[in-house]
Amino acid sequence: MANVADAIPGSGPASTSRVLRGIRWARQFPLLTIFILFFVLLIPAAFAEQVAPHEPTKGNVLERLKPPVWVEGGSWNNPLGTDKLGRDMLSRIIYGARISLTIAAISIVCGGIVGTTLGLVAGYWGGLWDHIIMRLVDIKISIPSILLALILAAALGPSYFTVIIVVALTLWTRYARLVRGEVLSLRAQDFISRAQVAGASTPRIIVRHLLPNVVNTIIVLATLEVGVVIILEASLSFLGAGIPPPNPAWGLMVADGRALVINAWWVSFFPGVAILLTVLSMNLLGDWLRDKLDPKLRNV
Amino acid sequence: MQRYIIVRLFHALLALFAMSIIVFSLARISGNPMDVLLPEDATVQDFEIMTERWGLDEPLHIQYLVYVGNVLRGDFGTSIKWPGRSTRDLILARLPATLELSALALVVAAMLALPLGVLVAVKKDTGIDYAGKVVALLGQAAPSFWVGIVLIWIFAVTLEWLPAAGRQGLSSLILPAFALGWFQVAAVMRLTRSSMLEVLDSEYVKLARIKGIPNWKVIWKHCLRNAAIAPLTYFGFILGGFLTGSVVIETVFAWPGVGLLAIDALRARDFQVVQSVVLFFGVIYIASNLMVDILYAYLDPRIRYTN
Amino acid sequence: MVNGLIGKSRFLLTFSLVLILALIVGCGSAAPEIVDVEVVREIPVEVEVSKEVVKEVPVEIEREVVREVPVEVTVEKQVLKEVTSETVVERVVIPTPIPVQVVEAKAVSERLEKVAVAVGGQSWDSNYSYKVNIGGFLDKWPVLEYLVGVDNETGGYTAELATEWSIADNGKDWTFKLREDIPWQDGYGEFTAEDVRHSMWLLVQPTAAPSGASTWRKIMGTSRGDDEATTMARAEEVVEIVNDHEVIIHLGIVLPEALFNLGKRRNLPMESKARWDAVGDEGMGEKIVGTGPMSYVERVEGSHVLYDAADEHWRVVPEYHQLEFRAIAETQTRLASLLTEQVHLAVIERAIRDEVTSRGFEFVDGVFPGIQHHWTFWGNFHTKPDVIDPDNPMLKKEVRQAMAKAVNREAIVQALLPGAKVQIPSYVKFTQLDEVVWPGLINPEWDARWDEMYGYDPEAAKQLLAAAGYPDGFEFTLALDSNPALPEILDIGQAMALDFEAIGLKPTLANIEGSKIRSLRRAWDIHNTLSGSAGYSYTVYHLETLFCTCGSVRTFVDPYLDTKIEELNVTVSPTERTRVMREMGDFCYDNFCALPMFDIAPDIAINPKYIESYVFPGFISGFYTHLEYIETVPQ
Repeated sequence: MANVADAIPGSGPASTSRVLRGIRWARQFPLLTIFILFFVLLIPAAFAEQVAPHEPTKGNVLERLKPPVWVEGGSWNNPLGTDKLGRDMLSRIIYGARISLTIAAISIVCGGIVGTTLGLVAGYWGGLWDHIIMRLVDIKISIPSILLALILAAALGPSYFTVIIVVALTLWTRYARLVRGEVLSLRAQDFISRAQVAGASTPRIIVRHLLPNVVNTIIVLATLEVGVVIILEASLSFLGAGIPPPNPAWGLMVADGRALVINAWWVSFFPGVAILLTVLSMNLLGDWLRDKLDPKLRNV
Repeated sequence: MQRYIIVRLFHALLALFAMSIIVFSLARISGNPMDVLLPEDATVQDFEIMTERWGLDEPLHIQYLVYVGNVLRGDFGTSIKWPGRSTRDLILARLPATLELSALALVVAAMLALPLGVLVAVKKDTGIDYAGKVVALLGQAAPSFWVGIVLIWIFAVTLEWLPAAGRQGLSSLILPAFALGWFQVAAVMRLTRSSMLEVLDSEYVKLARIKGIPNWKVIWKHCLRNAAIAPLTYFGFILGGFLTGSVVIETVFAWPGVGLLAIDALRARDFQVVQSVVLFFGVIYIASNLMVDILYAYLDPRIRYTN
Repeated sequence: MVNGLIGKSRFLLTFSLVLILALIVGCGSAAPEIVDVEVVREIPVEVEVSKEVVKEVPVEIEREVVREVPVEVTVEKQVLKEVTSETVVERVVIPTPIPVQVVEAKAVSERLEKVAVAVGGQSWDSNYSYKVNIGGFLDKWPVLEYLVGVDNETGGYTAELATEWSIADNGKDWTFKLREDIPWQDGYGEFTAEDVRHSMWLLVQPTAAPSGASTWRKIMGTSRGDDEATTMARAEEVVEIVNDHEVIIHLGIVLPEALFNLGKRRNLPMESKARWDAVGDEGMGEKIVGTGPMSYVERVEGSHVLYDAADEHWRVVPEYHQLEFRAIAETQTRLASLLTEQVHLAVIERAIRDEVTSRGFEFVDGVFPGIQHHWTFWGNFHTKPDVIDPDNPMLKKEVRQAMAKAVNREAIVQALLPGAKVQIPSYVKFTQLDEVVWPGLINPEWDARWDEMYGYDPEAAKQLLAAAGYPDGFEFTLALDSNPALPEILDIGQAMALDFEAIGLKPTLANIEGSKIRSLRRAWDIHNTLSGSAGYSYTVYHLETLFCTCGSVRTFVDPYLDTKIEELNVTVSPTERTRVMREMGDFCYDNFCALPMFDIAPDIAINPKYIESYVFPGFISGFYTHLEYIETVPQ
């Protein structure tokens, strides 16, 4: 990949002026993405107590459906308006980032650990383990995740915890498949067999030699999965099996506000925009990471 | 080769078997359909008698064996929510709707994703690359029910070009197919893009360029033909995605397909239908992947030997 | 509208309801027949009693004007031959039939091609009338008819397939004269007495699962699990066929309220025996065949049901050629279908009522606020000491009152149900409609004490909490579940949670499906939980279901209520029955057995370009009845 070299600042042609070089660098690096992620989502979410003007679950039904500040009837008290129970939209979106991103983080970490472990096992030991694990993956993939989630939600009762379990269950297969593939190709390479000959223990080989080589794949995948999680959570809310109210989860807010599109577009629009921005930026970031870290990786 | 196919078939059956156990137990844990089916004033005795009549009081493993026995005889059970209807008939009646939706969604996804994938690969790391990615990602960046509702508001309510809902003629198919297809565009586009990049980098493309073949011809004829193989092998996954997506999209567009059936059945705790639908989705998914694998094995002898 | 119906205008509302009731009772042809029933008490004394015979002089009265109905009272003396008992004469109000609304047919060319109704999906998508409960009848009403119909404007009982009815002195035997020359669709002959017997049998035979199944079994004297032959034998005893067009129904129980059960309200649809004999149980699922003004064309499961309107019918020829119910689960899509004129009537969320109206559409409310909305304090199983959770704060009366007083019903209605026809106060399972059947059922005290007992007062609520030993509140589960009759219930629950938080309570909101609650309550295993319900209410039917250990829902059970239900089940005299029920009502009112919210009329949005008017009573579960009477705009 010839372009990889271009990504490193300063390695461009010497004749290029500084400005041009800066532009090229900026173009390749999803600056906007990072900006959105940090300043629009992560920082407000981390300091929600300080940033949010109101409590996200408190409201007064008589203050309901106030429009955003720039629309007639809006006020700075509720810059993005209020929802149908009079709760402040801005505060809900800020706190919602926390919920949505926490769910994404926990389920991706859980799914990632399980999937990576299984993928390593399947790839490294092969044979029966490989067969069992890959059949498990087949089984999981062949059950539509939404249906599985709904059945689980019916069995466990919809809750924060259920959503995390459901999402983690959906995610692990991709890690397992990708990591297994990577490990298979790594195992065929010299340095692993040399380590084996040198008497390195299996855990050592896995931790010191295999994991560092698949970590890029895992990071890229994890980045791309954030969007998947948020969208799945929204779909679950739409079908009535998501995070229970009054939690300000974005997906729940969009699903809840959709009936009001005709008279209060902001109730579902702003959380929708939050989802859109997050998914877009995480995906662009993931794509960029993949190009930089792991150009071979394509099956995600 | 025959041995390979037999082994794969065996694996597929094993997977189906395990899947049926999982879905069966999960569905049973999720509640008793009599709690939904029986009228509000049904007494505890009514409940017990009906539970017994449906065989729901038996231990789980007995219920499962009965179910498997029936399935092997081609009897998928009688629906609880749709009185007097066999689940097989219910699914078969809804199948055409889901299939035509998925087929058109596949066309939509391919028509959008392949050219986009080529474009962003050729224009790698330019503004067009980013713009193309964003267009593709938009289908995935909003919840699909939201995309569906927005499409309805734009094309049905505002522009009045297409009907808002229902399954009445080809025009009513367009919006749901688009909403369903767009969701998969990003994935297919990524595949196309990376395989295009690989192909663009290959010796024979460089050779073709050296030979003076026009650039557009190199890209659209030589490269795409080779790059399109990767997304095509992804077909099974896309199909699986459609089946999953159909649950939401069919609800939004009141499209009477298998996805809507699954949701209705699940809400009513109609196990018979739920487990049959999941089994059915599983069969489609596993069969299509099996076909892709076997095709692949024919095309690429290395796979045969490693298995 | 809301303001006019709540708060200070309560008096006006009550007054107008009384007016409506008076209309129902007093309206010319709708005047009730007041029959005396001999009620036997076991006192071995020989007595001479006088019997008041009340006869009415039929008078033409205009709808809006209420006049006193002149009656002649003659006193007959008679000596009873039964010397071992005392016979007391009780008055039973038996509504005489309102003549059914007969509508002349519009010219074929003036009729609308099709009327499409968008509903949020049906709980039942089946052609069987006897295997589904009343919630699945939306798509049966156009085809099936009843002995006793419901008048869409007054809610009174109309003479649909029965032309007359009367009750014998024992309170159990009902005679129905049947309408003649009513043909079954698909050539199954004419409607006769045999069909009445068959239809009643259908509801108790082994494959049946109708609403009120246990009541039907009581009426027919059968039990669950009886086979076909046994139930058939019972049906032959219960339904005596005098001739082809007269039947006497010998009820297994005294049921002065039987018109409710034997008609459209509690769902005894007339099915053809000839058809059953021809196609059997399996064939009944193929289509719906009845005597109604519309005939079944097709059902596409999950999509729609289509009917052709008849060109000739004794009752009404619809002003359109076809009727279609379209199942559209997603509320936005339903709205879009209405806006794009794909459908002409649509069930739309009340929250956007104003906006839909401003786009040129109209909302039609049911004539009556037929949906009652209340919340249950789970865990009050006072007849079952072993299952009670002693730590459950909701066992305390003060806590229940505090929660009832914490909720700002008026604000919730104003904010979440703008424009809806709402009635506050609401007494759980006692509605104004029931007063028609049991005059004096509702204690006027309830209204007088409403503000003090249930009215919104967060300060008083806090004091009550402190008095109950919870000055800092307590945690409890607030269960949210969607409800087809009141989709706004999810928002109402969240708004209530805010009200509860305001008095220091700590509700945990949880999505708990109704079926889950059913399984928990069946095991007596639901405590410290508040769950909402909304639906059609009918006192005598619901008291046993909700407030008796023997019932199936058992939201609040108490030894006192159990003895009252026992008393009710052996009480013959209608006034006595009313008294017993009212005493139960008093107990529930005083003890806060449930958290009442409001009564609300179901509504539906219409496109006035096509629909001129649609009047439906709004208290029949499933709500959108009488579509055959829709008046359309000639195109």
